[in-house]
Amino acid sequence: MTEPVLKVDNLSIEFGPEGGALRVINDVSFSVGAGECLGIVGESGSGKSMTSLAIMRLIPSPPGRIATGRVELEGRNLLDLPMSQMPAIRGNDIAMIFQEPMSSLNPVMTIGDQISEAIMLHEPMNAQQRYKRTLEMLTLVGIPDPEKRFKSYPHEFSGGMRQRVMIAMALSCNPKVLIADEPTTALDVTIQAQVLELMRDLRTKFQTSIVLISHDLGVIADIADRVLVMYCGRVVEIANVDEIFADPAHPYTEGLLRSIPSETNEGQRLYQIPGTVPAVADRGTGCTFYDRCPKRMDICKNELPPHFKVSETHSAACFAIPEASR
Amino acid sequence: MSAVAEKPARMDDNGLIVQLWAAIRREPITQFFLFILIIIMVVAAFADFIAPYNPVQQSLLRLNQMPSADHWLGTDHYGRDVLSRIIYGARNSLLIGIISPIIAAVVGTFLGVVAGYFGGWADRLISRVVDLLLAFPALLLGILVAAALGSGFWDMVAVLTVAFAPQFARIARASTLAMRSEPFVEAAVSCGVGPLRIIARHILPNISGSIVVVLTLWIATAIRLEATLSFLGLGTQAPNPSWGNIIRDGLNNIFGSSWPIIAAGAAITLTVLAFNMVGDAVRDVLDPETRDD
Amino acid sequence: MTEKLLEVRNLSKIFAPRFRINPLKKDSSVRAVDNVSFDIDRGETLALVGESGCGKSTTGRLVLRLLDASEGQVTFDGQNVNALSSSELRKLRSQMQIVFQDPFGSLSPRRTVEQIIAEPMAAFGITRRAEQRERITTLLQQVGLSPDDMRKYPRQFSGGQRQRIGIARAIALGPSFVVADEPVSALDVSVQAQIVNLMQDIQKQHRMAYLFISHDLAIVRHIADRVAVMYLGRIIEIGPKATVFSAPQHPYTQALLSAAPAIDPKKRARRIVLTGDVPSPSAIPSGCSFRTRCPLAQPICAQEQPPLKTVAAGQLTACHFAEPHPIKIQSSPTPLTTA
Repeated sequence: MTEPVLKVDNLSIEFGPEGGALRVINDVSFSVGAGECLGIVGESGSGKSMTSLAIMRLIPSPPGRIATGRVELEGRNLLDLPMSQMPAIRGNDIAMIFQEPMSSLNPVMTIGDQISEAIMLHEPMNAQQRYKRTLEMLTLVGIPDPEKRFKSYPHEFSGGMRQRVMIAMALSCNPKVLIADEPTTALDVTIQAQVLELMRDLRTKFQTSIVLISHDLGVIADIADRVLVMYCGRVVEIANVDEIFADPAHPYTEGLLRSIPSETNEGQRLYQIPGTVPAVADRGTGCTFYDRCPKRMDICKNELPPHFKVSETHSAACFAIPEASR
Repeated sequence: MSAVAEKPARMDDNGLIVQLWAAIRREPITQFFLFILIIIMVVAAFADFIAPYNPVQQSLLRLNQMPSADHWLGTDHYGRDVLSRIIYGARNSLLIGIISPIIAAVVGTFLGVVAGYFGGWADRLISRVVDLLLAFPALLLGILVAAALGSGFWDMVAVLTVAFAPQFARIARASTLAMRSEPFVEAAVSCGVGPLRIIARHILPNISGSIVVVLTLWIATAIRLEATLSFLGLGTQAPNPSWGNIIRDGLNNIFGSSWPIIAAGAAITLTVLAFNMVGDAVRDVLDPETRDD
Repeated sequence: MTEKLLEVRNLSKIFAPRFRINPLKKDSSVRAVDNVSFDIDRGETLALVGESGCGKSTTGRLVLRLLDASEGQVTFDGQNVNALSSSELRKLRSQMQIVFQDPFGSLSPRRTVEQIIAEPMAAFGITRRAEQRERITTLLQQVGLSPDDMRKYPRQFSGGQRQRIGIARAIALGPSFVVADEPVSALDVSVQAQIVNLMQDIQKQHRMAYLFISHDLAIVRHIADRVAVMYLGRIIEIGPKATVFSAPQHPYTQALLSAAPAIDPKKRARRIVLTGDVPSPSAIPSGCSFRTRCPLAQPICAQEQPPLKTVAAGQLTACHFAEPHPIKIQSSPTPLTTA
């Protein structure tokens, strides 16, 4: 892998008062190379969205606090920067798109004005150049008839079109990293396919690094190069996309994959991961998956499993990984 | 998603009274006005024992007196004790001011729920009548109805009920419509639960909060409106005192003594203010969305 | 073995504005469901799939008469549902039930689990407290909750557990037919599996029929016996699951199936990405409603609405270019259960 563009090291986030704080994100580390797409998978409460907000330094504080860790963008630790410099980073270097494209757009501003405003904030250009650039962006994300659509308002767009506009805004300043938090969850399958196709295209065209957060393993499998699985605020497994789906090493990942209906388990009962996700306050010192794990051992109860390497590109935090393959 | 969201919702974890009391305890000003309100009500209820004189007893020997040890608020141009008249007047003003919004709330909610839940011609009929009544200012409507009915105690109540019921009907209808499309109401319908039961079990408990909020705020308005109508001579009739007709009487004799006007005006202001302050506290508890903070 | 339970014929629903203020403005009535017909046998699962706004949820509500149909007829167990009086309809509700998508909104926040599940019982004359308790205890155990949960309020449960409460309420009177309106789409992946399993277990125990409304094709493939695909209010393809999934004849079904993100990397290659958006239901294209996005569209598609025609045993497709085909079912490790 080439030098990573974005590198997150031992990130931990706490919520609540000093002393009695709860750690919702624990020791999360990963990196993303140029033009690479990293998928972050996890269920609600796993901390996947929190992680992305921390990269942008958008954690509401108080009550939230980044307790430990570094977020490096091309070698520069964003967490050391004064807060006043963050707006210049957001949008310019790192852009973000969200699940609900309607609420992220201003309903009383035209689509064109919103995109050109995003451009204006980050790049000095005159009105003529901005207009041209906005039309380019609209064309780029596949919005037909851009001159006409420039003057449309968000409510005149469908969900898929709005998400395209969001992508156009996010990419208008050529960011190095694009964080997409459930970008297609609110969209229909056929529209989702279009948006994923667009993201794939843009990645190869501009070498943008993408962090894609999703609960949908299908979407992740579709677009990601590498996959990071989060459970209860920790990274439990990280691997190349083919490795993780073919040969998951962590029992949680395995359970998740087996619980999805597919051709291989057709006609059979679906596998269910027993129990429920423990509340933040109830997480003990051991493995957070202990209570639900089919492979649990005595050691797992009180000792946190470190990440073991399964291959050069694949590691998982589980004591059950046989010594031989570590 | 976040740790913050995992906190349980604060909705009715405690009883209503407990929450109300907690809200009132946080606000010393609300406490003060609640205290005032209780005093006014006690005074009105026990007027027979508290008032030093008979409020309609005239005396030619004591016309237009200034406040003194015998007559704390002086006397009017018939020699009647102003304090006693204010105390007895509180009874009329408060009774009318509280009873009529409550009746209006019951009638209006019933109509609004029927219109909102059943829709169709019932809705069309009720909504048109409500729209028609809402088109008139409450005062004008009050004057019209009072002129038609007369001006006894129950006539007054009827007047104010007609003036206020449309407000409640409108709110009840809107809340019912919103509730009707709630999935849990649809769930009850799909379980074969009858409409009356759905209204009683699912709709009324969920809209009662907003109705009570409106009720507390309309009590103050009702007291004001009763005073206005009495002032205009359409409300409580002399010699029976109410705050409104004390001012009317006092105005005719403003150069003889201004004390009746000052005292009755102060009583109205204080009571309306007290009801509004306490009403705000109730609203904060029942209707957290409208809270400022 | 097969015994027809539900028969839906030519069902339509038009949502029209109550007043037309400006007579010159174009008609804004919306044909949400258009001429939909299907049957469901006892104990069978028919899945209704389609994208948002295609009318699948409306169809579910029309079948239960939670909404009144504009045209068409629903026959349930020999009774004409559209002709029933409101009290007769209420009686029938013990036999036909619904599980909702939203596990948060569909349970009244002010009522305990016991009160929620007792509600349908009380409506059907089971009013004795002890009897209600006993039944609720059994129901809670059946859906994998503890009888102690009876006294709790919905907010004390997770989404999956709430959905279990909703299922307990739906099966409280032993219905023979349940409409499941996106019952798992609001849940996490691992919880979805639990609820899908639960629904299948209950179906087996009570021999219930499901109308399973979903946009998730993987789950549909898992749970359905037959599948109906809807597009803009019309059923454009219907048939046994095995044939619809392995040999879809309508271009929309083909696109839908190929668009679903697949974990298996080999399946990703043959993707059909449709262009454009779904047209608004208030401006449905003439002829075949799919023609604006269809790769096969020809002039005839704009003029004539293709009728559903049989293309294989039990499989009907509404496309001018669909041809009868011999069923070629992919070899599968487990025998497929077809209706």
